[in-house]
Amino acid sequence: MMRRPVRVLGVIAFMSVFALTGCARGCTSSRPPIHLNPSMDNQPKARAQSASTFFYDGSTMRQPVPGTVAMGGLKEDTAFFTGKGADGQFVATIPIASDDALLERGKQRYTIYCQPCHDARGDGKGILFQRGNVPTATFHQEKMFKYTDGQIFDIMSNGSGLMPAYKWPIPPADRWAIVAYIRGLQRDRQARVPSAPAGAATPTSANASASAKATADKPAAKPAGNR
Amino acid sequence: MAQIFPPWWNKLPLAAALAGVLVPALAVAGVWYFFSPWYTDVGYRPAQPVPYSHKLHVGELGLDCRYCHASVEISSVANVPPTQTCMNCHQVVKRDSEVLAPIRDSASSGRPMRWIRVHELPDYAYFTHRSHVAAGIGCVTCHGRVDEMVTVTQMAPLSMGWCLDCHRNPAPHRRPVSEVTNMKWTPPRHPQLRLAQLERERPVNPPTDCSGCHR
Repeated sequence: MMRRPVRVLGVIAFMSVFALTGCARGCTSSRPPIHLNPSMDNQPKARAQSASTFFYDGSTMRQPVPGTVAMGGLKEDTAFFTGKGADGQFVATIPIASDDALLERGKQRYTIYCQPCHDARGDGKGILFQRGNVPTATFHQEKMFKYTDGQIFDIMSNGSGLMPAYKWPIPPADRWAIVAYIRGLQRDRQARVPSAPAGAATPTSANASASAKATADKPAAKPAGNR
Repeated sequence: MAQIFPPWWNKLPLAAALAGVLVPALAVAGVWYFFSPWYTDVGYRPAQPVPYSHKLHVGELGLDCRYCHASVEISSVANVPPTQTCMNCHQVVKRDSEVLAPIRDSASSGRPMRWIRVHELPDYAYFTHRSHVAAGIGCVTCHGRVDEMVTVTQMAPLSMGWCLDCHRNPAPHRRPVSEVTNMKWTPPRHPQLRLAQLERERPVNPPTDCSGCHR
């Protein structure tokens, strides 16, 4: 006698809940989440990369006034920050200690930022070449062997031709690590292909241990935040 | 004289008792199910001003998360990239695409894109990406398989209970730091050995007190 009404009641309750919400857990919606207790979820404060109704460009984050130098950000070590020595010439070798840790770091960073275009071996057969047929420089060419380490650092920082500047995403210490890794790629290729011209075409910092010795007095650890 | 109470009133106590049980039970079940962030927040998938596909860029082209979200290891914020980062490739690839017009406008004018934020913590919770990445918590652990998402969708509730589950027992969620951005990483065969090694190399002690996240 009681069975049927109970069942009917249950079904009605179940259906009404679904009719009200139209969806179970985990289904997608483009509407912003409703917080049942909004408490202080949204406070009138500026968070990183948030929008602003106050500033004319709609952005909360402000650019420093041109010429501003942050504490410790004078970048006096021009060789480290620009790849150019005090005389304005590109430095010949990496101005920080070149060791296995640097190479390892360089490999990792290379994989993130360079490999998409220059490909894992440095032949310039990455995505842009494959998909867009965009010519991408290979590291295994005469021109690149002749570049000094400072020059490669400069191209990485400021771009060259179609290649854009990578100053923003890669801090200088990592850029030097990538230089070390690119030199390593060139060395490996030359060791494997003996027909490649030796002598003049040897990468500048071919001997990592020598350059490490030459720069042993330089501090290896630089603040990553200074760009 | 007519009866004041018709015969069906006899069933009233029973009906009242039933309702008294069912209604609270339904209410509790409803609140448990529908008021949970697993219901209110998971599955949020806003339409972005430019339909950037992580599935294409990460899943198929193989870009690393950090190519764009470069500050994730050094900052509390995993930045949304400046449009110049898009232009790195799109100055030559699909340069006339209608869909990419807002990106080109933003890059040339310097006005930021108004992307819609998907993963948003309450303003009183201070989360930092840097320490989580350094502790070996993979992107995929909180953000899901972004490399399979055409439109980014919130996969985790980002609720305090969910945070604390991991803060109280982080070991099963950790991985080698080198594999943090790897979307397809799976724990090796002997998870116990791996965990022991991780703990030896970099023991973590995530805070579970209030001031750990609420300052």
